[in-house]
Amino acid sequence: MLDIIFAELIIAAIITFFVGKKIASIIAGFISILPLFALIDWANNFGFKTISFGIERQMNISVAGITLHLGITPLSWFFALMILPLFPLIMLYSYSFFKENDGFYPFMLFAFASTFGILLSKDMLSLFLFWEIMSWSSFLLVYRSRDKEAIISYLIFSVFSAFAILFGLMILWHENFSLLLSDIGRINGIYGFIAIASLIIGFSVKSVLMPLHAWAPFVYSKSDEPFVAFLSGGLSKLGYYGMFLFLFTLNGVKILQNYTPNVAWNYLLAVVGSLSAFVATMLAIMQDDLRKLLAYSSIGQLGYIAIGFGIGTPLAITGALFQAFNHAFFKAVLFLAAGAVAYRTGKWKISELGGLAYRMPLTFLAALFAIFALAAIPITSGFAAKWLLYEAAIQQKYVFIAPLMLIAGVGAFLYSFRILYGVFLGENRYPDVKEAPKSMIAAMFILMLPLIIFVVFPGYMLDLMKPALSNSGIESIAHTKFAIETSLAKYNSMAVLITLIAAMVPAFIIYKARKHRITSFEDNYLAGEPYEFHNPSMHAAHNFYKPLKGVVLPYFEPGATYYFEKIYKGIGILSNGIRRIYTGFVQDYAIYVVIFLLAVMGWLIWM
Amino acid sequence: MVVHPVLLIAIPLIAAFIIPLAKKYGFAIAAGAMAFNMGYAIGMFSYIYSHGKIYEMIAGFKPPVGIFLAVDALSAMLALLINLFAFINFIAIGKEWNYKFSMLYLLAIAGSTGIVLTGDIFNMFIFFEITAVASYALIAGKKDEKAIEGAIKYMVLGSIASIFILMGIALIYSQLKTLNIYDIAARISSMDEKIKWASFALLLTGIGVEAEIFPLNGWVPAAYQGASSGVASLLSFGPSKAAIYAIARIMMVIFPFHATYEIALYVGVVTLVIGELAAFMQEDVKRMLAYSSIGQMGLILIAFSLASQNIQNALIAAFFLIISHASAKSSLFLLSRSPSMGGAACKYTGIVGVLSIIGMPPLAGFWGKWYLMLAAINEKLWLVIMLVFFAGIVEAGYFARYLHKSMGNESKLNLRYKVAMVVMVSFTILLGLLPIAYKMASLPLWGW
Amino acid sequence: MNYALVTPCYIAVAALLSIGLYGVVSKRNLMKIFISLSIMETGVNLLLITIGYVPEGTAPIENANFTKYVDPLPQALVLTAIVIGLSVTALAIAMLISYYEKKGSLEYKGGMKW
Repeated sequence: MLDIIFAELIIAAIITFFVGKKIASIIAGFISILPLFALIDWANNFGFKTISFGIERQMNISVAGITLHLGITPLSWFFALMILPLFPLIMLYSYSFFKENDGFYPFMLFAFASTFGILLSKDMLSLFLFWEIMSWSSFLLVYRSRDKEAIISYLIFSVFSAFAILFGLMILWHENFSLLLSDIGRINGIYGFIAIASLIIGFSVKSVLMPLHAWAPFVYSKSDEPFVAFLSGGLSKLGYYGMFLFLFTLNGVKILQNYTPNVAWNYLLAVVGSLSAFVATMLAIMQDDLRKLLAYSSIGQLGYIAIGFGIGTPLAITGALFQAFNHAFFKAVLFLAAGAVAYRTGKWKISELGGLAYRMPLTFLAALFAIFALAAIPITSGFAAKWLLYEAAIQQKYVFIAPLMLIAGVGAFLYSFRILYGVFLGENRYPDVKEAPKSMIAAMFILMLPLIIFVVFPGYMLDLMKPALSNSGIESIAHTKFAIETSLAKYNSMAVLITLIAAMVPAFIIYKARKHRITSFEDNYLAGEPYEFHNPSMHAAHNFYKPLKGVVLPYFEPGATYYFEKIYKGIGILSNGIRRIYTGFVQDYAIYVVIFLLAVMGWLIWM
Repeated sequence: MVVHPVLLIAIPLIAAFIIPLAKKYGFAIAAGAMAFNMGYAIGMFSYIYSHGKIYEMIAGFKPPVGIFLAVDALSAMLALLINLFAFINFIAIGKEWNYKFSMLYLLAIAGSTGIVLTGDIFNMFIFFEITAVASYALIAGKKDEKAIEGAIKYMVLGSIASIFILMGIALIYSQLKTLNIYDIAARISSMDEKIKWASFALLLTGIGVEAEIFPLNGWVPAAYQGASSGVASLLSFGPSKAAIYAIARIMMVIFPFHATYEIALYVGVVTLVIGELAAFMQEDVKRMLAYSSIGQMGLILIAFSLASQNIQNALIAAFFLIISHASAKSSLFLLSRSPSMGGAACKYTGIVGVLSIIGMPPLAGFWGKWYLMLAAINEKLWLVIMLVFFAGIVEAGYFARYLHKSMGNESKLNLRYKVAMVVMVSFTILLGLLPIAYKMASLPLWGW
Repeated sequence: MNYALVTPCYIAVAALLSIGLYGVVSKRNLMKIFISLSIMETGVNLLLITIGYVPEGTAPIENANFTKYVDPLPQALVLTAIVIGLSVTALAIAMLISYYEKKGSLEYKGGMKW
């Protein structure tokens, strides 16, 4: 069955090359539901009672003379649960998003098949193979953006990540001559250390950790929104999947510690994660482009997961996985909502938008809920995740990380407030805009479902990740359906929910009871003179965080993406220097030939 | 013997001589000869696939006196590759030119095929000269300033190269009195140490000029830039591949010493890095592709030079790299005829070609890099691995720029070009996917 | 072995090669470059002949009277090499003519570079 699922995904990808948009999106949508059946079936393995479809847990597929060892593990099951549901919904969304079939569906299906493959691979070759297929299919989706920076930076970073991963895998292979991932545990010493380090570096490109994130602002802000929703929601999690796999399931932490007992490498990862969260959040606050804002927000939110992995206690890892799960859904909803806004208005700048909540109430609702989850406002599942992370940092007395996380948490609220205020509230600038098409709304609301479920039952989430944790030898923290208990405190979602409702209902009644008068924006007078209407400085989002700007930007912006441009230019200068070898004079070339001859001869005779 | 490899050389040569007599039918005769060659090469390959190596003594003279062809799996594969691509390429571009072009094209193909099939170093020299002379003329065929200049550069360096090859052969002959490579290989230890090394250096330098090795490749950017795109395509799958194979054969059969492998490795690494770096800022598409070819030749040379320890992995890597580079680069050169690559056929040809060269699965280039890494890690060549990675990243940089730059309107290439491009580039997909490619690559009958 | 004749030959080979190489490297006129290449070729041909030379040998023609004759194979090789050199030279001259037509001069001042 598993091979049939793969075959159908590939065949569907090929078919969607040739058919029209509607058929393509229908085929893609239905085909991408198939793996979800497998997920439901596999849930039986991990202590959940569900329907069985008879799909294998293990399978060896032979392609091109090599055997791919595929199989489900608790860890990959959990990550599949957060990544794979995005696909059918993105396909549903894209049904009305795209005007014609110009190469989105086939590569999206390839990306889907390869994501599924990465999660299922049990040996290095298939892991790397699917990783590369994922790289090129996502590259071709980026290629549709026609943006120079996005295309160049994505391909360069993809290749860099692929090489780093290949290097790590090759060393592991060379150390015990087995391609199976389960044989890695026996490696120690310098080679094990290099291998694990280079794997982590490779994976952190896709999970946009700070020094290696330079592609993300370009790519996230220029590609098609449905794809970006997948990129930020799904693909970035694959990087963390790889990290978790090699660090915890395959004992990477022990390999690192055995080689350098005195250096806390996990602390370094946590620091990188917290810096990533902090810097990206500060940059997100300053962005005017909605997509760039969401891009930096993704980098920041994903940094939390790295913090959790770095701290490494059961509490922190639970928090990190929880955050990963939440992020997959709320960031997908946010990007899709941004896409819906752009679909209707054609504008990306916050300063050009405004008041869309009146015209697109459902989109607003979805975005609002996602923003609650993002900003970790109590009651949403985002809060539970971040609370676990804060607590883990405090428990471990990480005095550097915990404050950075807290500031980044506040910062997340600051920029989400800008989205709400600048895009959806304020002056209604687009009175003629209609609500987003039904398929888009449906996709966003279905994506909200898991977020809502885990608001009320955060314990269920911990149940879901329990097999993955116990498989890696990490004990899961005590919890009931509603409450999570830790050594410091107890978080009971039901209590919070009831308190909130108790506070909100009277407030809502009072709000409704009052009379409202909506004044027109033109009612603004300044010293008796009517103010010029379409002056950008009159927009609610104009110079929103001006005081912060002077403090933040000079320090953070150069380091964020410009270092990549500097390296790129540096290679360019090197290249221009090297090219001078080819002087254009055939006489020089003849001299090179003679010098080469003499050098080789001399080397061979006298060495 | 059922299969006569000599026909692969003889038929195009005979056809090339007939063409001036029947000028009108130049294209048809050449196409027919190449179709025959293609079919025969397929037949020969399948024969070798099931029966093993072929040695053919021409006119019944036994070596070391007689002229002698030695065909193993790799050379049969290369002969097949060259003739197959030559046919496809010729169908696409042949009609644009007169009978002289057809004739020269046939000579170039006959020469390249001869280089890979022959088991005699002097014949190798002759085939090199046939190929080179035909290539000079083909490059100059475009008749504009750049074409002539490229051809002249190639010609000067090619002449020096031929002098060095001939000197190398002369030195070997002066010691061993034989020209047959297996004969030489058997008695190489009886050679004077210094003359042995001098002859290897001369042969490496001479053939290296054709194989686009740094620093012998001064002609490459100029010739590729000046030549018409069809000829540039021919140069990238024909003579250069034959030459790199000739280096491999001479190195592995005649001079299988630690020092020679070491030199080939260093030269390959330097070629790779310099070629890719030079391409990085290049604005002219053909010149960029030419620099990129230099880099790829370096990669192939690295693969061959790793064969001293891991013959299996290294040769599989070389096999896939050659396939990938030949099919991708020759279709990209055909594509370079139009400034933009709009339209599905052109767009996906460009993309697949680029991805294969970068080494993305399931294309042939991926397997090339995978097995190259396996071979390199086995010898713990950390610096080489790092440089290969660095070169790969640089390559990604300029190919991404190329893909972005050539995005645009529907290209005005005619149908024959498009078909040829798509067919050529599909080989990198097919050979990456089909299990037969792996089996082919891991055949136990590499003839070393 | 009698080196009386062979040693000057090797010296001549070296001289021809270095003269040719000097010409290729230092001259700007393309015609002179190709002339230098021809000189180098002559040097290599001479080398081949010298290698095949057997002291006091005669021409390699089958005859019962001669038992000692020079090695015939290098001579065959030299014949081939001369033919190839000739064809290259002819092509070179044809190309130089069209270069001259395009540029009005045979001086090479550098062209496509970098």
